[in-house]
Amino acid sequence: MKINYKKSLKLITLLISALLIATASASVYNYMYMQNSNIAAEAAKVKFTTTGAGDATAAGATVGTNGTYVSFNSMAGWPNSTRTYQAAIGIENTAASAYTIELKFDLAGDWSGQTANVESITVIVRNTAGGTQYGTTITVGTAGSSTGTFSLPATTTYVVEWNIKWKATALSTDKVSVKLTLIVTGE
Amino acid sequence: MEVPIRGWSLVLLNVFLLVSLLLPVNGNALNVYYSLASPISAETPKVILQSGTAGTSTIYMNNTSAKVSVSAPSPTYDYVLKIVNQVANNWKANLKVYDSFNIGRLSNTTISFHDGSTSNQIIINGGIITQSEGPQYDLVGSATIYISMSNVQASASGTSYLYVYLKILVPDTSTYSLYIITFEIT
Repeated sequence: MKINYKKSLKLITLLISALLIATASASVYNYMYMQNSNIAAEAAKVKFTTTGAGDATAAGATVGTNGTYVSFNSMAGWPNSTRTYQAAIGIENTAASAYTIELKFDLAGDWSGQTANVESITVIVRNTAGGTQYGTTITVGTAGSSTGTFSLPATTTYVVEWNIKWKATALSTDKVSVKLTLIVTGE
Repeated sequence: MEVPIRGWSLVLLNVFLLVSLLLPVNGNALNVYYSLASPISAETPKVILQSGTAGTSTIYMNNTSAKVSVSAPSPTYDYVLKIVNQVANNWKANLKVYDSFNIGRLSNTTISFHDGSTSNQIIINGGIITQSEGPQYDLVGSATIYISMSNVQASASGTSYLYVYLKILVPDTSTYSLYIITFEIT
């Protein structure tokens, strides 16, 4: 096959021109600015607290700085029996007005470990240990399972109850980790 | 006036757009906190159930649930189960009925703890459960409590069931474990 260099050169020139035209097709930009010069770090109005939570020590509860995080490192259960921590942690509203809150097991990935050996883990919010339930029961392992929203009155503490049941076939080496999300609506 | 299909479609489209576009505008300030439980462990039971010497008892896997079968009439079944504390920790234990079946035929039955002293936990009288939950009883470190049944009387033939929780409480807390014990009385 004979190559026509003249035609090829023309074609390449045409392609380069097209490319230049395409890139030169500039947009018109208008720049606007939003300035916020006073974003304050406030004290949290709703906090996790061990005060009044009689099972916080047994559950190994540690509240983070500012009360916006809590970890539990010694919850356990015996196979084929239900372990209950009636007041594993408190949720305290320190403000003078009510807040709407919701506790939820958000995503399927929010628990891990030997989850197949768990019979059930449920979480309930009550006004006191063993008292009136607020919202619905959370089933750990079911994505989106939530208390639903409910009002936490001013200067009030509710407690969080955990119920853990391992299957009869669970081994003493089995462990799971569970993350729950607390959503507090409002400033 | 008849609205053509195209007209309805426009109306529906407008309603959809109104709802879907306005909802996100109705914003909220949300604060998101996290609670992490790690690890939640499956432990070897520190308190276990063991078979008794009276009646027939079946202990299930891990020794954390059991079934007891006795027949009426009998003055005493002592003992139908043992509660064995395998560790040095102290606990408080009690029994609580959470369900029952065909109890009306039982004229009397008392289920008790004993280990020197006695604590009546569940009492049935005249076909009625007159005491469905017993007082907390000390289960001290490495000790054993015995469960006995006394005055087991029935006014008719049949089979009755009592479904009971054995509640093992960590003293001075509201942390506890529940074991299921089924009492079958023929």
